Amino acid sequence: MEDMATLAISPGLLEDLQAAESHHAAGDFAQMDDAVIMLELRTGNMAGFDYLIQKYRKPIIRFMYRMVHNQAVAEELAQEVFLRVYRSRETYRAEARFSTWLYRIATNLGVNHARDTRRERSASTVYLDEPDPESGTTPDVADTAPDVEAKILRRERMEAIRQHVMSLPERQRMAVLMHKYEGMDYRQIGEVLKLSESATKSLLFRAYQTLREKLKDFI
Amino acid sequence: MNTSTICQNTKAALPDLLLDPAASTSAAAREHMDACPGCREEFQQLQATFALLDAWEAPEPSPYFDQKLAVLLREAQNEPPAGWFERLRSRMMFNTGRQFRPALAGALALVLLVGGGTFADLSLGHHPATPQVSATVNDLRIMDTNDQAFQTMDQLMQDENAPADTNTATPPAS
Ligand SMILES: [Zn+2]
Repeated sequence: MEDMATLAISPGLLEDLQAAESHHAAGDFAQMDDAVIMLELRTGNMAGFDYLIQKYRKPIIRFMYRMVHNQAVAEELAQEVFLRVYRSRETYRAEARFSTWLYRIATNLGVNHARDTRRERSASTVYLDEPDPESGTTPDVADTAPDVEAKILRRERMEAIRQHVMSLPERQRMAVLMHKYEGMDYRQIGEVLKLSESATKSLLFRAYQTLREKLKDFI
Repeated sequence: MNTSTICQNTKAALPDLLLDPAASTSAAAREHMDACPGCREEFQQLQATFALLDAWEAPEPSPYFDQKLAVLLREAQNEPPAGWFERLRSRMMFNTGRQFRPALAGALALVLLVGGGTFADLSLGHHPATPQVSATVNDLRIMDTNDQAFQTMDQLMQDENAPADTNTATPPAS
């Protein structure tokens, strides 16, 4: 409303706004703040949104994958994340970093999915001679023996890491995924989880201490 | 300062050593660890655990990801704009600005109290205009709205149960 009033007084401003809203060449987006690109999405600039998707899709798919341990589900959830970002373009305020907001949405979706499927997951046990649920492969028996052993060991280790990270309390788990695998600092993790930096730090430290205890056979 | 106090101080500095090696608290702890095998071992194990976690790899996105997302976004572009309640909810769920939250929670509670979930009644008043909607549809709408509200409340409760220093959180940088 304020904008409208201003426009009525100063018609020149309208042209400036239109110039600002005009679409940019793809190379321009790299120079722009994500938040600015997001604000342009409100005016219908889908090219900017494509850029944001390209920039964040891998990290978000990875993040979802580590939460749900299934690539197809991870990709569906990641699509839902970007869809929600698009649908919430009107409510986005540049008061938080775009990536903080993105991870907030991803965290909410991932946590809800984990809660919904908790029962199914606890019922399933992983056996090493069964096909890997992600890749559909079994350890290749035609390989030379040392290779098979190395593969089995590698898989056991990955499975142990996954299970122990997954069994951390929810906030610790999310903090580890963001810190270890997304390379985010305490401050941004704190912003996503709504915790202070010091609370985030101690949350992460407790998580790594638990993991050290649980994974000591692999160290 | 006796040895055990130094060890405790060192342990308190381990998070920084592990997570933020450049932090100022790290220097004294590092010096102590050179002389104290116990503290050194604890730190080395944590470091090894941190490195071990690298073994958990994630796959590359499938080639269809972009295509599927493009289709979903095209559909979303044709949807009508979100109503105010959806926008309010989305803002509460995903924004970092804590300062608005108590007020919004209060507003939401009021909406539930007054409207029993049928927030449309707030603007329409209790005119006979609303009964066009069947009872079932109305019930479903109330349930959906309440469900959303409970989720939001749940989230607010969780935040309140967070450690006490939560409230010292710095406002997010813009
Ligand atoms: Zn010591």
